[in-house]
Amino acid sequence: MSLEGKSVFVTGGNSGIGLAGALRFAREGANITIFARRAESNAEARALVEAQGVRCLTFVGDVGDEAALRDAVVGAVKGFGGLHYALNAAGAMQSVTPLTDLTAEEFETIFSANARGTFLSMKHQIPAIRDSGGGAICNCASTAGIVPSAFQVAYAAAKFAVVALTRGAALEAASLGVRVNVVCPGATTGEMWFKFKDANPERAKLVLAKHPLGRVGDKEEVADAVLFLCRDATFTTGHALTVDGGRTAG
Amino acid sequence: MNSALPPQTDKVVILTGAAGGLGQAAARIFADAGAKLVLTDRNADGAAVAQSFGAQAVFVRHDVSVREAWDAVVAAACGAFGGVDVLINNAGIAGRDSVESLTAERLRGYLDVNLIGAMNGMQAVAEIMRRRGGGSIINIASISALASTPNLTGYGVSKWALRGLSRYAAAEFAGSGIRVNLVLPGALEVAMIKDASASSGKSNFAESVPLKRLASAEEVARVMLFLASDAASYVTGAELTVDGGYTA
Repeated sequence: MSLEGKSVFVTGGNSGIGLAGALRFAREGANITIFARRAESNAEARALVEAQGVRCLTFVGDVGDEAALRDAVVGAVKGFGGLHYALNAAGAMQSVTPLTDLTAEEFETIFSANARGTFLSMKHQIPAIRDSGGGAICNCASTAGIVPSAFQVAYAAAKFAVVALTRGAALEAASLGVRVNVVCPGATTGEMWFKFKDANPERAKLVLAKHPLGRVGDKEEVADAVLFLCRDATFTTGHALTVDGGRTAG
Repeated sequence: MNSALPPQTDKVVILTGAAGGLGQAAARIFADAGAKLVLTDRNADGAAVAQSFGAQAVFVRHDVSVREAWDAVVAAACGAFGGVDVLINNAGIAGRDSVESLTAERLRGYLDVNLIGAMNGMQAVAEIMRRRGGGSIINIASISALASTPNLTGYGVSKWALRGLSRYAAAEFAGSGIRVNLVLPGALEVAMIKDASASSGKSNFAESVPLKRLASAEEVARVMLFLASDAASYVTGAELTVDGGYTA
């Protein structure tokens, strides 16, 4: 129980990589605050987290809503006596649409959910972590934040932005005792991948073929990397760690 | 000491450059995690490092740049511990050269150890790892492989080459379940350069690091432990910086 008494804030924490990350921190003894959109999923996630023997707070909200985010961070600090780590896993996947057919509305929705949401999350987490004596943030981008895919350029632009936000925030937050890193998962057993695969079975085969390890990553493998960056990688900040089965090595 | 990373009790680890500062720290962290260690160095001082871990470690004196010299290393791993699961190409040499002062001979010297040494190691263990169903290879480069560092031309170019080799190997070995990753430490290499050239400036360098300090050897070693462990089971072809934000 290496993180007993620590407080962790997870956006998008009721499903996929967010929930896997929340459970990974919980297994180490940390108390968890989940900020995510669906109340019923929050309740289910909370039960799973509490089953690890730790405490869990949930807040229903969207990362586009700054006031809700701010209040949730304040709630985490009050509830658990501070904030030490954050995992920003909230995000949205783009439909498979050629750039020339993509609507401005969808571009804005995707860019906002991923990039603006990560910005607002860090804006309120960094001071809270600083005031708690320091810690670390892990954002969640994608291999699309390193190598763009065709027909999902808004998603790529947003995830490139998440990587840039991470690196810039790391420079600013280093003197505050806050490290900021980002994981770049490849195809991963989260909700996004399953939806993508169901909607685009042929395309999913092509995507999978680009992963040299020959399989989809488990969300728990991404969660292990998140825990490593937050807890163990004490001299690593501003780093984009690929957890992609070699997708971006080729 | 944070010992929260997964234990390595069933892993056999070959670690080169084990007599150096980073090598000794890595040996200690892997030994504490329960790994079985084949420590190598061309410096005989590595024997004492291995002895301090008792039956958990053996030492082989060898020069990584000589391909045939790897046979004894692999034989020691198989003889003492039954195989090889992890190879850490940590041995390296550093020195100062500008583009104009660098000679072909000096460049070959860096390449022999920093690049060809790692290539030799990977070739020596690949088949054994493949037969065991996989493994983890960790190459130690430097942030000099991400940008140019003034007057570290020969050393830096050899680390850029090692970075390239790692990516090729990651792609090629993935089908065999062998993961290949690169660690790029920042400030530690400055200490190495400092030793090599007796130049000062360590504290000045720390000022230019966003975290305002240099890395401890243990912090870099802990990254190796992660990459070796099953926690990194989907991580291959990664280039992990340990530089306090210097290249962010």
